[in-house]
Amino acid sequence: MTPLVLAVAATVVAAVVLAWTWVPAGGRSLLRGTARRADLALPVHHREQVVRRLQERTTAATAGLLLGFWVAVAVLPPDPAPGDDLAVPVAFPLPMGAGFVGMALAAAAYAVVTARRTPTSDAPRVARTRDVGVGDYVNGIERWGTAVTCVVPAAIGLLLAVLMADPTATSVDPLRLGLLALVPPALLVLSLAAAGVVLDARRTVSSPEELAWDDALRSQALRDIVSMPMYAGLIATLWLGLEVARAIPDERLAIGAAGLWVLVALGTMLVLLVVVLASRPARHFRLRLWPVPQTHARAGAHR
Amino acid sequence: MLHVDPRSAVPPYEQVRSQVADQVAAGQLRPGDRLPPVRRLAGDLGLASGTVARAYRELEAAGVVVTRGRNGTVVAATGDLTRQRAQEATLVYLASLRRLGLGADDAVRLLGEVGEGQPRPV
Repeated sequence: MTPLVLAVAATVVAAVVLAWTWVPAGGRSLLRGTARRADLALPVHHREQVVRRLQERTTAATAGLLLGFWVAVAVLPPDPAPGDDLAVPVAFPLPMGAGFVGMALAAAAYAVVTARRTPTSDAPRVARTRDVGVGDYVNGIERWGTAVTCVVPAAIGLLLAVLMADPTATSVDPLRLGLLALVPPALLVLSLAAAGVVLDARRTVSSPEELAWDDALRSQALRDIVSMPMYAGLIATLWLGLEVARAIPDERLAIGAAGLWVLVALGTMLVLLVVVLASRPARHFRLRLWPVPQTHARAGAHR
Repeated sequence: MLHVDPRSAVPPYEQVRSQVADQVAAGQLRPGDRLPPVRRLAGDLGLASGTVARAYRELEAAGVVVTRGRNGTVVAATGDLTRQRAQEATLVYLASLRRLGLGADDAVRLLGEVGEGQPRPV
């Protein structure tokens, strides 16, 4: 299966997912899934607005995933150049990584755009008394994981730049090296700014239940924003490792090192994914901001 | 949680001020807890920034909160510290009894029983 075939298959799956998302049963399923993951009671009021926001976010994320996937497939050569055996190990991980980056970028962009939509109302308003920050919505594993995955490619890039001072030691395209090393930290800075926009956005809610669900959607938005540099950092680390392998003079050794690096990198990503999911990140905001379980939406926030 | 009703006869700044003061008194807001920035809270409650700023100023004048420049407005460490510590100790005590399957009534009864045998502070 070539990356092109995989991209076509992903497009078909995405089309089915989108069609399902926008039918009433699909919307209800999205809502129930979000409620289950966050351990929230289903909203009694404002259910349609919550479903609509979930549908819009899913659409943005799916479109971003496809865009990232197709851009990567278009950039990659359809067939590896003769003698370039290192193109094979990157043929699948890179489009998939680019898809994840695209998904996170689109979801983050959606979060920022919708945060600026501020409907007005003269109904009674409810607000939280205590100030909240990213740490109330995104758990430490995701926050610190993102920071680490952005620092690693920058560190590898710096190391390679130092090694390249000796031209006989290694040679990596400086532009590519610079991009891979600097884009993840730049995205991290961008994500902090985007998180600030989401946190500062006005919230027009009139009941604890509405506030709880707004918290759930805000948590999802902030997690999308945080995952954007994380995915970019992971893919940059993977790519930089391959660049290092490519610089090894012995071709057989280079191919072996590249294959090993892809295995190690993908294995690490898998472990990270399991650790993140085991920490139940979608439930973090609920435990922090709504410590009274399940019935919190009716009983009101702790503080 | 703050509830502000724009149709209430109570001025909005007073609704904000009294609810924050009540929550501090009840221990729901603890010393060091940071209140939302004026602009953000005003946006959330649909009020003018000046309205929330006035509530914060009055709370500060009453010693309930302090403004720490860039750190924002935080609940003051002053107030009835002894009472707060006593409340915290009581919560720990009740939690211990709950783990033993005992309730608040048992707690009061045990305090009476044990208290009788203790020397009274001078």
